[in-house]
Amino acid sequence: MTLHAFIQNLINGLAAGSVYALVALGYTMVYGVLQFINFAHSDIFMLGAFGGLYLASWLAGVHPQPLQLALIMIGTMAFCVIVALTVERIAYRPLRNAPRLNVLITAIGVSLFLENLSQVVFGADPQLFPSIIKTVPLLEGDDIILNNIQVLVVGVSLFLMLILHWIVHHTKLGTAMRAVSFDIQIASLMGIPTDLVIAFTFVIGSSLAGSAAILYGLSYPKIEPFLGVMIGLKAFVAAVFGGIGSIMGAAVGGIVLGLAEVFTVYYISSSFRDAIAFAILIVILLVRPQGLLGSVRKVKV
Amino acid sequence: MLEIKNLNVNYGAIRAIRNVSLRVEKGEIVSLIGCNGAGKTTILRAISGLHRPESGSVTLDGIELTQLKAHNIVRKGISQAPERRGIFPNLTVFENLLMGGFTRRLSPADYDKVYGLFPRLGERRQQVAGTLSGGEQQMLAISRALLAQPKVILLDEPSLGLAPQITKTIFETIQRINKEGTTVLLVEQNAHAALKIANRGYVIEVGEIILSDAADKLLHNDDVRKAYLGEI
Repeated sequence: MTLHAFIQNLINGLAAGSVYALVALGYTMVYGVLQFINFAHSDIFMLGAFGGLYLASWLAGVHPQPLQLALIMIGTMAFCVIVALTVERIAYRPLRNAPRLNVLITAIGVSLFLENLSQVVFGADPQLFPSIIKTVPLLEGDDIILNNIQVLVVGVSLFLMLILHWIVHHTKLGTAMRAVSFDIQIASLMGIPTDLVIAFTFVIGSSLAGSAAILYGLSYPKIEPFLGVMIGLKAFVAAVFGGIGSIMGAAVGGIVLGLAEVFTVYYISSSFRDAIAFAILIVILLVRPQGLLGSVRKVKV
Repeated sequence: MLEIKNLNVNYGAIRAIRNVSLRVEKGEIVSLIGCNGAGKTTILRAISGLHRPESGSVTLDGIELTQLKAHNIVRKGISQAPERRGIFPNLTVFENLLMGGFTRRLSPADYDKVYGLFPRLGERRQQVAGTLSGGEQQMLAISRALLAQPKVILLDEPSLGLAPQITKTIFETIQRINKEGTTVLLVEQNAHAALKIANRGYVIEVGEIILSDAADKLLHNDDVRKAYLGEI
């Protein structure tokens, strides 16, 4: 257990955790306003990865590379937003006054639909995500490798989370989102168009998922229609760990989960890679069910 | 100005509001009094578009509201300080007020106006609203509804759970708001306080209006005195 190995794992864990955090934010924000787990969110992420794949071949001629990457990322985010808004409009909005369980089951249905549809459209075989940016080691020394992709992943994630924080806490629309997440009916009494605010929440969640998909594709360039399942579950664990409904919680939860995974692989065994996420889930549900930064929601009777 | 005609509202299979008609003229304070569960809140919810009525009409200056969504009804000129205050406890006082004026572009003068009405809100503008006292929360709920600049403001039991002294302050402020040009529909269990400041009053019992008159006449009506003012 050398210090170098520790630092290397820290870098790897932060990069992996940033992706989880971005996806977890989508779960937690939708939960915040609608109190249901949007299981289709992981498939929005998966579709983002495929969207990025096709955009990359389409925009292959664009130079310089950073511009190409930026265009691919923005395009993918837009694509994910369109899919998520369509899902919200067709599948979730008609159920706005239905019991939460109905919406939850619908979300599972949408998720299965998107996964199987993708299998038909993209094929079941894994595809290679293009290396839009060449991996360049920035720092190469005694057992520590820090490459540009890792810096990009962490940097972009951090940047997007700061923007999110600014929107939620310093704009009128973000304040309206917090009002809606407290009580939709009272928010509508203020003249807040609640359907629009909810749709905007999906816009934010899905665009973060889209960006996460590109960052993921750059780091682990193998994508397939069931890509979202495991990432989605882990991001969901991250959201629950941080306290579902809490934005800061999702960010922290994602990072913690990424670090936990990487350290488990290094210090225990790689076969525990997936197990650790669910071990964390079980422990947090036993010890602190509301999550690290979550609050106990009073249920009105 | 605000006119309700033959309103019927159901909760599931139960008819909560039966054939209710009432009107509020421009510049008035109208009090709707009745017991717990009589249907007062349901009427306000129906006016604000939170609960779609079975039949009947709600019009503001002749414009039909029953088919509109709640947030559009605010734009038409009706805002509400809801039952149990309904402030956003996770938002600051300032942010709550910002939401109250969501349909408008608020200027600093708008905030100064409500801070003038309730100086304690001004002192606590950066405080998270969940930490306010009950009275302060009620002040916030009323201020928030005022910032929508409504033609008619609906107040749902502003005295609920408040000490008599604070209730008095709140009711004096309601009169002041009314004098400054906002029409008021006030729903209360505290019949005495509500009728004292009102021009006219309606008495509701199990979903039906059983009495309506000038407020001072209702205050001296024997049935009202027995049923709502605690006199024998």
